[in-house]
This record gives sequence, C-alpha cells and structure tokens, in this order.
Amino acid sequence: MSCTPSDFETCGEALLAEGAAEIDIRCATSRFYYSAFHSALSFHATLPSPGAAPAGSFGVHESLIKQLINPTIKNGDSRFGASRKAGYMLIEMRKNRVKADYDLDASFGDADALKTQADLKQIQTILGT
Amino acid sequence: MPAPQTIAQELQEKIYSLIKQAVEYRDEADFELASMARDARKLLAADAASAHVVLGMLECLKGKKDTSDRHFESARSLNASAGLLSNWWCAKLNLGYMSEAEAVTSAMLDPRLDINSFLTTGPIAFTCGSIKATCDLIDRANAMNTDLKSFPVETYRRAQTLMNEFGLSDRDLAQVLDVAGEVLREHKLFYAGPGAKLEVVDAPFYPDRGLYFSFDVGTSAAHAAGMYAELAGKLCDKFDPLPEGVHVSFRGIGAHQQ
Repeated sequence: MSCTPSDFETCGEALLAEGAAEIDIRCATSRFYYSAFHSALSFHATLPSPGAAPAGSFGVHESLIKQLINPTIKNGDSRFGASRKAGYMLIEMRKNRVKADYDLDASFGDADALKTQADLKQIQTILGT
Repeated sequence: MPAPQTIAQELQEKIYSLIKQAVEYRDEADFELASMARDARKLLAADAASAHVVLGMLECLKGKKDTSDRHFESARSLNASAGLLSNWWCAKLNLGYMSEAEAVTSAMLDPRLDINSFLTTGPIAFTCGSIKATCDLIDRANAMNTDLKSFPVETYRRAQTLMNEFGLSDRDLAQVLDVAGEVLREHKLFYAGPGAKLEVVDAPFYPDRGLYFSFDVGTSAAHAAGMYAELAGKLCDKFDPLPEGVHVSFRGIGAHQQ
C-alpha cells in the first residue's frame, strides 16, 4: 500500500477537527510539513538536474531545502523561481514542525497549524502539485 | 481652552490608539482623520512642531509616506527632540520602511537625547532590525541603573549572539525586513500589534537556527500565506544567495476574511 503527499494533508485536516487538543494541533502541523516535504521531493526529482547541495553532511530534509534554494536549471525556466520560493517557505515550515514535535514547553495553538496548512497550499500552487 | 501642547498630546494619543487597531490603510477622505487634521492645523501657529508631528502620523494612517515624511522634516527643522524621532520612527515602521526606521534608531541613540523615549520603543526595535543597537542601549541603561523590567533583554542578547554567529548586522536584517514592508504596502495593510514577532531559534534540537520574524496581518490564513509566497519570491529576486540566519513571514490572524 502506498501513501501520497495529499494523504499527509488529509490526515492533518482530520486532526484539526473542531475542538482539537494541543497534541492534535501539533500533530496536524507535522503532517502538513511532511505533505509539503514530499511534494517538494517529487518536484525536485522531476528537474532535469538536481539542485546544488553544499559540501558537508546534511540530513535528507536539510539537503532537499538547500538543493531547492540552489537550483542548477536555467534561470529562465519557470521551475527555477518555483524551486527557490518553495525552498524558502519550507525552512519555516520545518522549524514549525520541529517546534510542534520537540519544543513541548513552547506555546502552540490553532493559528500555528492553520498557518502551516495555508503555507502548504501555497507550496502546492508554486510547485504545481 | 486647553494649551496647544495639551491638544497636541491628546491628538497624538488618539492617533496611537488608531494605529494600534489599524488593520489596513484608512481612506484619504476618512472623516475622523480629516477632523483631526483640521484640529492639528489650528495648532500650527502656536506649536508648529507638534502640529506637524500629528499631521505626519495622520498621513501615515492613510499610507502616505511622502507627505508623512514632509511633515516630520518640518517638525525636525523646528525641534529635534527624542519624542519627535520616536514618532517618525513609528510612522516609518508602520509603513514598512525598515531600513529608514533602522537609520532613525541610530539617531535616537544619540547620547545627547533622552534615553527614556527609547525605553518605550526599544522593546519592539527588532521590528526594523535594530538588535545590536538596542543591545548597546541596554548596556547604557544598565550603566545608568535604569529599570529595564519591561524590556525583553534576554531575547535581544540571544538574537545578538546568533547575528554574530551568522555575521549579520542590523542593516542586513533591515534590508530583509524591507521586503516584508514592501509586500504590506502593496496590500495596503498594516501589521497587527505593536511590532513583528521575533522568535530566536537557538535550541540544540532545531536544525534551522536563526532569527524568525513574523508579521501578523488582519486577514485570513490563506491570504497571509499568499502574501508570504509573494515575499518569498521577492526575497529570491533580491538576494542570491538568500541570507542565512534570518527568516521573515506573514501570519493571518483573521480580522477580516478575504
């Protein structure tokens, strides 16, 4: 059985139902980030050449963001700007995902999850996914 | 009849209350602003400096930067007080001209000026990138045993440490924040609240350390996300490579849904 980026989004939406507890809001934020991450990963895989990843040891997520921000395709290609914009927006989504999953003392509310959800939809539009 | 300075003070207080609640630019023909402008013009003969400050702030509420600046220039030519500078700073900040506001911060830190006015504006001075300048002010205030209880001293210190780590200056931050200001102006919106939100992300479990600025805007989450995408596009056009250690975005708080 396979799973798609939109399945992560649907899961996040279900968690954000009326009266969601903080744990649901945090989990929804995390699901929305992963939906954006997988959309961006698929987009990046379709590019004629991968983005430039600087030397050093980076995790999968950080590498993808760096590659999206530094595309190696022609500047005139519409996917060039899309790659950089989506990479930039993913940085904050990722930070919010880490906050949701690790920073348990930080205040976290509906507005944080709704922002991540709305940013996900923008990334989908930018990437055409 | 109240003294001219009392009238000017009352007008300024009314304007600050309007700015605090302002979500979007007021109409040029706005009756309330026109009435306040008439009162301010009556003050021109008796207290021209204060009258120009009030008129400059009223123009700010309409999103009119040039005419706002002209009034503040006139006021400055008459009286270069710290109070005047902090009003001008506030107008520039609300109109999203962060580099210009950052330059005024430096003027406000002139040791010949009263430190107290900056103690009011200082807690939100990061909104235009003035973090290192504010840390200098904190040092000065500490040396003078000034009460800094309401001041987010720790946030400023942590932000300064990260700025040093990434080699960022106040001017660098202001140039990034200017782009957010540009997007706000294009949408004829003010940010909500007294200033930006600043999150200093320096905990060890965060892979993306840095300063995260966010402007709350009185629109839906979807509209704010659209503004954020525009901001990302403009930043990508302006900076190559994108600056590291600083991030800026918008968050919709839904005062009116679009």
